[in-house]
Amino acid sequence: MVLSSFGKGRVILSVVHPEYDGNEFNLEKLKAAFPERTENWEQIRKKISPVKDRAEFLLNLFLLKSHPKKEERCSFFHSLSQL
Amino acid sequence: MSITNVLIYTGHKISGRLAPGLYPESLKGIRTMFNHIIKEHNRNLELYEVCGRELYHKLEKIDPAKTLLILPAGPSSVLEKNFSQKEIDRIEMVISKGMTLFGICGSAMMIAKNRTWLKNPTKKGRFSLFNGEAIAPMSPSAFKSASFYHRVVTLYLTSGFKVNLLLSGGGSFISTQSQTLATYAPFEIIRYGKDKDKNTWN
Repeated sequence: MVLSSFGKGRVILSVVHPEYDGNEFNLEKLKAAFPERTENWEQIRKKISPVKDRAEFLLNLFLLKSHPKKEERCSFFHSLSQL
Repeated sequence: MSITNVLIYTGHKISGRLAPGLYPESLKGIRTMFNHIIKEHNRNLELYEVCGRELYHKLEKIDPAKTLLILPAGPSSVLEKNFSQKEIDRIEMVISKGMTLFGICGSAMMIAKNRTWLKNPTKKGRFSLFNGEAIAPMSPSAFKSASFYHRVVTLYLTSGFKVNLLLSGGGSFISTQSQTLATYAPFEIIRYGKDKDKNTWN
């Protein structure tokens, strides 16, 4: 997960999924579309952190940003700490 | 100034029907996550679900510094086609004025200047929000019907906060102008055979 500045704004890019708990998927449809896949969904669901931890992670993710300009960093910290 | 508005992009509609691209499962997960944040963390947030055309107009009305835009997951090349140049320009303009954007998986890859999938030639993206390269997948599949596996991966924030998240292919972002917020646990880098190139897969 990375953070990049764009003008006065910010872009946070995540290539993993903080939003999924594994129960969102229709396994029958997945199996039909990808018959060779061997994912163990029961195990995946057990291993994914619960929503409270993923939410905490997301809030921490936004809070832990730093920015080259101190005053902007303070403003951004404050802004995202309200999320 | 606090973020008070969360805009969740819900895809584009063509003749009243949802255009292909956005994963409804990702949208569902984001709803659950933010409802949890509002309820359990007592955050005063307004959630708005907006489709492509509505998003364009909504961005005209919001205060950029108070707004977080979330782009749920979907295949980057398909999602990208849904956005008109006018819409891309508006999103970039509002971010440049202070909005925060959170892109997940294919949406994050979509907003990178360059993206590389497996050993295919690197593609140039239509957005210019991330001046670097997105590479994927972390967990390629050996089979023809699927190019990646779903796995669970352990990540650490720079503070040490640990979490296990779904890896739907996964990948990495490379840029000298960005800051790493969270990294794969070292054992994950080894597990996926990326330890020879630690600077790329972090």
